[in-house]
Amino acid sequence: MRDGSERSRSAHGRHLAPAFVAVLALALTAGAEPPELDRDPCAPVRARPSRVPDLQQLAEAVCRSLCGDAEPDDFSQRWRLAIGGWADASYRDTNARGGDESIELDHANLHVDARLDERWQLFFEGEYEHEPALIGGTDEREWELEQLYGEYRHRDFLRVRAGRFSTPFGYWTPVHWAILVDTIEPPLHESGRIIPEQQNGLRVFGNVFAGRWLGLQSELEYSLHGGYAADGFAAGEPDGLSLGSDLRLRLDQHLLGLSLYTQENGDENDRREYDLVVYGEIQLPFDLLFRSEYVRQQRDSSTRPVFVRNPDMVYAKLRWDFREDTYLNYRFEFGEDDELGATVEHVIHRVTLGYQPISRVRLKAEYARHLYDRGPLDDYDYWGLSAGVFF
Amino acid sequence: MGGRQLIGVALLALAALEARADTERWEPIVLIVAAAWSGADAIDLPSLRRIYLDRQTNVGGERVRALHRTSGSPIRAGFSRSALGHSEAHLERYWIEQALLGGGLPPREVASADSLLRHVRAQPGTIGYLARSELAGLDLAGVRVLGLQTEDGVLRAGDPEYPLRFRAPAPPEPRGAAP
Repeated sequence: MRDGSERSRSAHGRHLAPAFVAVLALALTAGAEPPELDRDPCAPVRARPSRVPDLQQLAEAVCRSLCGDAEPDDFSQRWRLAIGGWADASYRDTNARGGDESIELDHANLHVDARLDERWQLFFEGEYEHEPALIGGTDEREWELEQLYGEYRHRDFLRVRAGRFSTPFGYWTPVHWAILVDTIEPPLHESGRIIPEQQNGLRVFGNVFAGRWLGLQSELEYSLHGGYAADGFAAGEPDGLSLGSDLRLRLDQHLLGLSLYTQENGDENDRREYDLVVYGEIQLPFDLLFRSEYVRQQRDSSTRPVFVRNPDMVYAKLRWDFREDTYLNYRFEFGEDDELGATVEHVIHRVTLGYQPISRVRLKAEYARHLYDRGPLDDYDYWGLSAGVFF
Repeated sequence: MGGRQLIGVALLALAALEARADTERWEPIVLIVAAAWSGADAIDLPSLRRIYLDRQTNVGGERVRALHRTSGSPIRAGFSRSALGHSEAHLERYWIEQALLGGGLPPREVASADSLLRHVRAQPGTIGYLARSELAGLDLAGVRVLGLQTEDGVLRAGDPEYPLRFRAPAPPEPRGAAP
């Protein structure tokens, strides 16, 4: 049973949801024909404006006050400012024991990107996030500083980022925003927070354009980072030093990558964890895309409870973009899930239909079947609808 | 409606489409940079794509930046398709996602060929594009035209294999012209 404060928060979410729907409707009814762009260096920060009130207008006003008129000069050529945000809401239902139907505002996000010149960047991102109750878990809401960093871009092959940034680990973790991904629910390794979403520290990364290789245009991306894992919902004891690396090879539209990560986990008696992810993506004929990630975590046995194993998790997905604005996605997930204590084997079959009526609106409908091999959890079904809008 | 009428309607529709096609033509897109830029005289298509997607900012050690034409214009739509390999809707989604990731920002836009020339001259290393027909009435002092580097050599806008082109509306017929 929920206590009073939880009911109050839930009511708060239910009041926010209609407001979100109104914003979404406004975005959907915005005219396809954009108004004339301003003809000065401040204007073209966005790709295609619409009549929806836009944070970019504020960015342009600030830019214009700094740059003056339209004559190109050294400063106005270099200075850029982009302000944006997004929000999404969802309806979720499940037949799991202890599960509940919900209509919630899941995220509200604001980000500011300032390019002081072509080498220096300042980036801020803040987010309200609602983490729905896991089966037997608790419902959580919070405002969070997602990212705040400064970046220096010496050349394409050498960039340095300092501050709080998304953890470069595999494909999903650095691109984890609900509005950007194919599905409503994340894959097992992400929902189980095997890897912290953010790091506070230093990152060195870059791209090397290696020309043609095996008849395909190739590009190598590398990343090295060190610092401390940022606290998320499960904030408890502070984590120790973390180190990570990522290497990915792009061959035309195909991708192959490997990431390594290690940290001391403060919530688990400061045990040392070693993580690996191998990931890849292949563009297939008929607008099909295959992607897979395999995650392995090795835990320090001296501090590991006997009933918790070293988890392996894998997902494989096939996405079919049968129209430019619509896709169908199937994802198979399999792994050892220890979110609720003892490690159990968890299998998920997930089907998602995605629709983008305009570029700034993302709609998703999803069904998933969750299967457990043993343990205290029963198999269950999950349904969800989600709507997200960029503003 | 009988079979003959249906065929008649279909033929009329085809004729209308044909007439519409006659009012459009494929026109080459010309790449320009500042004459002062010390980079090469030609650029390869993958590098051009990466520059316009803000994934590459240096060519041969030289800083380079891109300029786009106005969103929704025929030349930009043609450039997006023939040079970048994507529709404008696809690229719009790309930029929205890049903004959130703190990645690239879309190239600045300029409304006219004149404005493009001013910006290109002002900053060596700025790359822009024009319709070949736009070159005729412009003062090209201070800019130079880039070729397209391929494995078989450099392609110029007049070459039949030159891939950068857009569907340009035909110029209006002069008044009083014979029907």
